[in-house]
Amino acid sequence: MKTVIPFIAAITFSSFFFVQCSKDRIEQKQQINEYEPINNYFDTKKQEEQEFVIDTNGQGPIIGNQGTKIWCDKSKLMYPNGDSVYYPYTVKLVELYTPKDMIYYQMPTVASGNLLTTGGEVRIRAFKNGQELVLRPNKTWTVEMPNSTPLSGMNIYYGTINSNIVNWIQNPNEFFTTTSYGYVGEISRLGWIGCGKLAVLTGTSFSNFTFSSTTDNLQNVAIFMYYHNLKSLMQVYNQSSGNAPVGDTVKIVMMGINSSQQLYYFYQKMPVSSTNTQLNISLSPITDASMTAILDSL
Amino acid sequence: MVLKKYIFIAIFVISSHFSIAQRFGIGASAIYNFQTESFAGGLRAEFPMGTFSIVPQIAYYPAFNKINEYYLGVAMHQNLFPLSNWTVYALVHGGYNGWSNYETSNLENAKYSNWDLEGGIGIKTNRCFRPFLEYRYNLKWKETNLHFGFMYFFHCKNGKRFGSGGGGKSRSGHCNAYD
Repeated sequence: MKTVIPFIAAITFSSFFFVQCSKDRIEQKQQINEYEPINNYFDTKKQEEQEFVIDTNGQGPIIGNQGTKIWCDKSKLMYPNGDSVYYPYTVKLVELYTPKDMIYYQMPTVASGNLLTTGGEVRIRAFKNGQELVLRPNKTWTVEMPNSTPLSGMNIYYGTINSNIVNWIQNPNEFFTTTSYGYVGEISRLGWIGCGKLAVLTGTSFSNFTFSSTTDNLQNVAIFMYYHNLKSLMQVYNQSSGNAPVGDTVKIVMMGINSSQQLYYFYQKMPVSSTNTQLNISLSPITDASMTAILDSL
Repeated sequence: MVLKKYIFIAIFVISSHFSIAQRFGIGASAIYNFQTESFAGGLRAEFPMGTFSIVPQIAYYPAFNKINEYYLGVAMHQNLFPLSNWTVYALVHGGYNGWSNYETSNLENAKYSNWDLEGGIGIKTNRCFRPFLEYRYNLKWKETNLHFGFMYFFHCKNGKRFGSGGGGKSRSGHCNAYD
């Protein structure tokens, strides 16, 4: 008996060892998917810049692949120092008329934080011997942008790019007017030209989206929010969106590419709620063709 | 860090001096950690002092395991009671833990250098060639492990009682149960 009691006590004592056992040490770290900057991928997909050599004083206009018409006038051009320009010179044109093309060019339609309804974006530049030319003060070129259902009240916006982020600024009293072809306007500056108007009315409520992930490093993932009804594109920087109009429907598109050049994506269509939305997302692999199809469907 | 290293060296040196004058044992063990599902091999020496022993020991969990690490430490054994031809003892072990593949673990604050403390219970025979079995709980990692091995005691004669002890009975072919 003397032996049995301590034996039982020892067994009882040892059983306490099981009380708080842990397998924490063999839980593997969850692999976080890392992505490369996506600019190289976008560069392979984005609209090419078209070049037109202007060598005579014709009637114009020059017409881009997607229908942008530009009435070039040499007499309204000058070097930045004011010198006159002589033939020939080159006009370069980029046309962005779909959300897909705007995404590839990372040219959202946001003016100082306000969503713009867009009728298209074009970049018009003129060069002589490699030097970029400018329009003379108070001179304009006529630009016509194609649109089958043009909207009234569209303004001319100029795009300025800071740290790879575009901001659209309206010049007072510069407008697009509707035509049977689309929109026509007189531009007083070369560069990025946007046809647009404020997408939401005064008094609209806004909320914000933030994006996080436990499976993917979102640092290099491109995030876009497209408001189909508003024809407006927002790009998300640092995983935090700008003001999203409450009640509207947004299509969220996220794209990343890894070191093996495998494309990953996230896509979701959802209403903008009155409270801020936090999305914990996980990217999935996708083919280039399927990704293109999604962007085409926006 | 350097201080702790010197403490270990001191313990081993003291233990070595002790072993010159007294009997001591050396042994090896196979170890299984139930929580990390890892196998290890261990080496140890034992310096009995009556019913109490100082047992410096090392253990290595090779890289084929989920956890690749080693332990370098000292245990103290206290004989509790005899059980037939066996002796049941309690043990406390403190030591240094070098965790080689800590970077793969999701454990918060996982790092290479660690100090750990174990408590446990063991059973051993009383012969000069002395199998033992220990069941230990690691307070640091909250893991249990089983040590199965043997010790061989020098200056030990089977059948002759040696050393002081806490009341164990001496039998032919056995060392004192309370060694």
